[in-house]
Amino acid sequence: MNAVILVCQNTIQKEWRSKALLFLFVITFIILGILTAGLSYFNDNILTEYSMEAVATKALSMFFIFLNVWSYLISTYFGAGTVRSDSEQGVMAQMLSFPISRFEYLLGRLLGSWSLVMAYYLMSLILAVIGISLTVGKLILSFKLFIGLMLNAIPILVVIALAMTFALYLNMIQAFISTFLLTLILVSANGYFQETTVKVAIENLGVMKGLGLILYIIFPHISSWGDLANSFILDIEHKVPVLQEALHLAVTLPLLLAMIWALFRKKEV
Amino acid sequence: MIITAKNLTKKYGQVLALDNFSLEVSEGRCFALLGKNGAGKTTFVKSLLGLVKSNSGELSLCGEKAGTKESRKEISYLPEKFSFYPYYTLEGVCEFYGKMKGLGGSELKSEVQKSLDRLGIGNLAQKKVKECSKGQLQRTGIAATLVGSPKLLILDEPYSGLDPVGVKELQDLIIELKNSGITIFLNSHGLDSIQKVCDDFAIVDDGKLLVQGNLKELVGEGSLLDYFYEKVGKA
Repeated sequence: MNAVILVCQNTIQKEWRSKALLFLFVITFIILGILTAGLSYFNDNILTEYSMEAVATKALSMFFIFLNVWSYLISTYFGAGTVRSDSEQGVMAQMLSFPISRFEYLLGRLLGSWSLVMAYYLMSLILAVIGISLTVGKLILSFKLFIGLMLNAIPILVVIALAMTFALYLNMIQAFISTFLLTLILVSANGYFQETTVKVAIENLGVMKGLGLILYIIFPHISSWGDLANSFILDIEHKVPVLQEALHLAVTLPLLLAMIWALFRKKEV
Repeated sequence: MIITAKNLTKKYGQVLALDNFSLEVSEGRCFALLGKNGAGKTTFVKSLLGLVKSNSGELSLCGEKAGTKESRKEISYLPEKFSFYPYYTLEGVCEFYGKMKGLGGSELKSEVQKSLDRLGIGNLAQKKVKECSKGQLQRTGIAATLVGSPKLLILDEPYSGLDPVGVKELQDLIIELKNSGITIFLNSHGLDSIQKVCDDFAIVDDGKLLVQGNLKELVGEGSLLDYFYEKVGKA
């Protein structure tokens, strides 16, 4: 376990030092600045009939949607980057020459990247709450925000794991694009099959639909968990069957991690 | 034996990198694996560390099956092109190596200082990797491998990038380490430097072991370069 913590710390340190996180914070800060400026303008010049609190909640929702999409891209970037840079700089061979198993190395890198993205996510959310609260003159903090944040940790972990898998075999750009496309396909399959009955799902099963169904069955449902997180943060109703999704996740997430480990075990460094 | 390979075979696609390769390395010796570029030296080292998997044969390291976590507990490896994260200080690199080997607290601090001093870079402890010359980086790599007092040091082309003074200092250090009981496995084609420090050697060509034995017995007072040329040239 000590080795996992060390690799995890090293991941955080190396990504922090790469200044990528700082750049992302600056971008987030600019977006948030534009959002609060717009909110302030509305407050001073346009709004009369709506309550400021309702508008603030709407602004937070908008920011949260941006944050969600952005966090998946960041997950892809950190997931792919952490493995790829090790491989390209020759650090992976050095790391694996230590008394550490490949599983510990991979887990350390995965947890390190996950911690980074979650820290970015939390900080951005806190910034948004402060910024918007200051603009509207009322604290818009709710416990549901943090439940949403915790729920979003699941799709973030899945996207990081997918990116790491691609990065074992592809260069950074290829891994980034592949993860992005696979995530898009998974989200689409998730959206389609989640809404359909089993009967409809299996009738007229062509190649594409069959492939989508397989992906829907074997991969964790990124968008279901994202939707659930959104419903908490935006305080809206959700249609996600939570127990069913939790059971599916309990099977597919370990399966995904086991698949990555099996691939990495065979990988020649 | 600290390293034992029996009938090791490794293929990369259709290319045979190691062909029924057998080798033994005794404890406390300085052993050199010699060969041309692409002869199979690096594949053998990678097999030892578990970075590549052989297709057949047996390989053991420190009495354990090579490639396992246990087999790497008492070894240290220095790759040919030692590189580490540029923002680390030299002390930080050594500390990281020590921590990965399970050291901590005051033991780690003293081991790191001892290693840096041994390589003559104790005064550069706070210098960053990105500010180091090639030679300083190579010394840092060696210092890092010494943290934790390993039983076996695997050095891949250790003379690469060193100036003549650096080469001489490394030769002296290898002799000092060998005298302190550490087994040293050198993977190199710098034959003049090797001849000055090694007890035993083996020559590999096209993945096949051509010869293995004691340096003095096989080469005597002659030149290792001539001996190597004779063997590899005839192969």
